[in-house]
Amino acid sequence: MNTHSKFHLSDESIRILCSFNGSHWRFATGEPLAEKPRHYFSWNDVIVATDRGEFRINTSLSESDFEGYAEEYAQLAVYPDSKGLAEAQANGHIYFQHAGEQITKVFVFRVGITQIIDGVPTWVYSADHAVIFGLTEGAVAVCKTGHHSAAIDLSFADSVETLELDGRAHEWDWENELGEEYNVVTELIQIGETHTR
Amino acid sequence: MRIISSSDPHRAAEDFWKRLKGQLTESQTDNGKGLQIKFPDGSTAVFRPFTSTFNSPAITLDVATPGLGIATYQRIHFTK
Repeated sequence: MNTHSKFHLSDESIRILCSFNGSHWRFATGEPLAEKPRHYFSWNDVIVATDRGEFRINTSLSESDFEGYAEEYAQLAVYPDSKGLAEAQANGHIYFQHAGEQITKVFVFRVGITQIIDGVPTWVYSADHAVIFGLTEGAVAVCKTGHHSAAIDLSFADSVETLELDGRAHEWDWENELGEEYNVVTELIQIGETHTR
Repeated sequence: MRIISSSDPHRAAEDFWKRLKGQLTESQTDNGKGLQIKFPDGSTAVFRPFTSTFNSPAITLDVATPGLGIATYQRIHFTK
């Protein structure tokens, strides 16, 4: 095995997410996508507001050469602030779907990809690709649009099970050379749960 | 990664970007080192005039809509 590369949420990011577990959803920010109903777009930040305050889910690009050449990979992080909220409000980029519902579960959607050349693993990439909020009557995903992009997709669904989650392994697993394979593992990892009565 | 070779990589990259961008509004990337555009389905493209490879601007394409039968991620380097 050559190299392992991890792009996971920090402990502090997970602590912030867990601290909002049990709070009540108010709104989230993003730009509308003309061709994708219930999906919203942001280049770097999605702000989530609850009755306990706001937090910001951010992506940034960091460089790594685990594939054998320098490339940029998206890293998710969570901050306890609402930077950019005033601008989103001014532009009307605030959405109130599921407002008032309680956040009952918080998940991280993790994607692991192993490149295998001629039967031998060459690198392992593991990344937290989305943060998922289970609500009393719905679900919200804040998801990187790709492994190499700082953009974020915000989407709503009627349940966690019906969210459209794509691990995007095909960013690598596409028109492979002879002997080139990819092993893909996706996990929905629960990081917080609140029991409602 | 794809390579597009030409006698003037910067001009070739700028021409490619102009065609790709069409009437879309571009903005600066978060680090201020590139330009970015968003398509109506959430697909994105980023143009970096300068990269870690000398004299080789790059354009990356992230296609959001699956099942189109095209590569969903492409990094194109323009070289001499």
